[in-house]
Amino acid sequence: MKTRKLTAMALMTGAALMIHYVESLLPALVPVPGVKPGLANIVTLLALYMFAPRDALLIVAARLILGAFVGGSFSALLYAAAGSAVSLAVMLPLSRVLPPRYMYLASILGAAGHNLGQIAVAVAVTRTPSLVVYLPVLTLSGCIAGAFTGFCASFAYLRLIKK
Amino acid sequence: MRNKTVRACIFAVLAVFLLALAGTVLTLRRDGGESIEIVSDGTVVYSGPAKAEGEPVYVPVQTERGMNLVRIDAEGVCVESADCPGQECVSSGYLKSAYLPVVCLPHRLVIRFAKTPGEGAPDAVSE
Repeated sequence: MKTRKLTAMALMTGAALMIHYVESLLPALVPVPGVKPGLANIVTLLALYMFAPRDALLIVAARLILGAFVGGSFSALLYAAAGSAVSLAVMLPLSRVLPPRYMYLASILGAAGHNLGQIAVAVAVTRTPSLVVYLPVLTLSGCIAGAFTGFCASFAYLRLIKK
Repeated sequence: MRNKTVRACIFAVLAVFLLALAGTVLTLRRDGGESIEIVSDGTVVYSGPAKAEGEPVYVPVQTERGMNLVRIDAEGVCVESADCPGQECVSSGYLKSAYLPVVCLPHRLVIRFAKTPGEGAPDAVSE
């Protein structure tokens, strides 16, 4: 791996971690567990468009593990990892076919996938299948948050990085 | 090819959004019942009336993962305090919908309305 690329990946991991940490300090926008802006997804989207899939996966994995250390909550790591895995499975193929100005579409569908993964783990962990009822609320908030992070990522890529 | 992909994605996003919106409206509209259940790690640890007249009833749920103090008062049932990191169960407020339980994911705690014995059964059976 070239030093330049390694440095860029490390910087992006650091940025994602910082965004994740600052977001965890903000009060909950809606009193529903799992509803978050997911601003670190901006970095994930940029990584998917800038690097190879394996490199983007490394950045997300590093952010998740370091985020658990910084946040001090390893129980949340399970939910975040499941959500991120499904989200990446959705966004990765879309990032290969959608132009950067349509990043918001990949982001919204990725956010919906993230919620699906989180709920699946929550149902399995709590052994409460009725938690599936959270899915519409989480997906709705995910659509709004995904659109916002998608537009932010698209703006950053087209105006700042591609230049 | 690219235009077709973009169009398919737009339709997928619209479908997901509308389904989620309809599901959210249906979920939030359903009122609860007369009694509640507190479920810890898949096991019902408390069941009782959804409201308490007079003095509030406090139900502490202590597990190896942490503690949640559940309060049942004249308004309903809510989590008074907890030592979980996010405090989302506390900020959830009172249990309102039969479909949307109050949950504390780090402590694997679920507070939901209990199904009444007649719920789901036919109103009357004619011979």
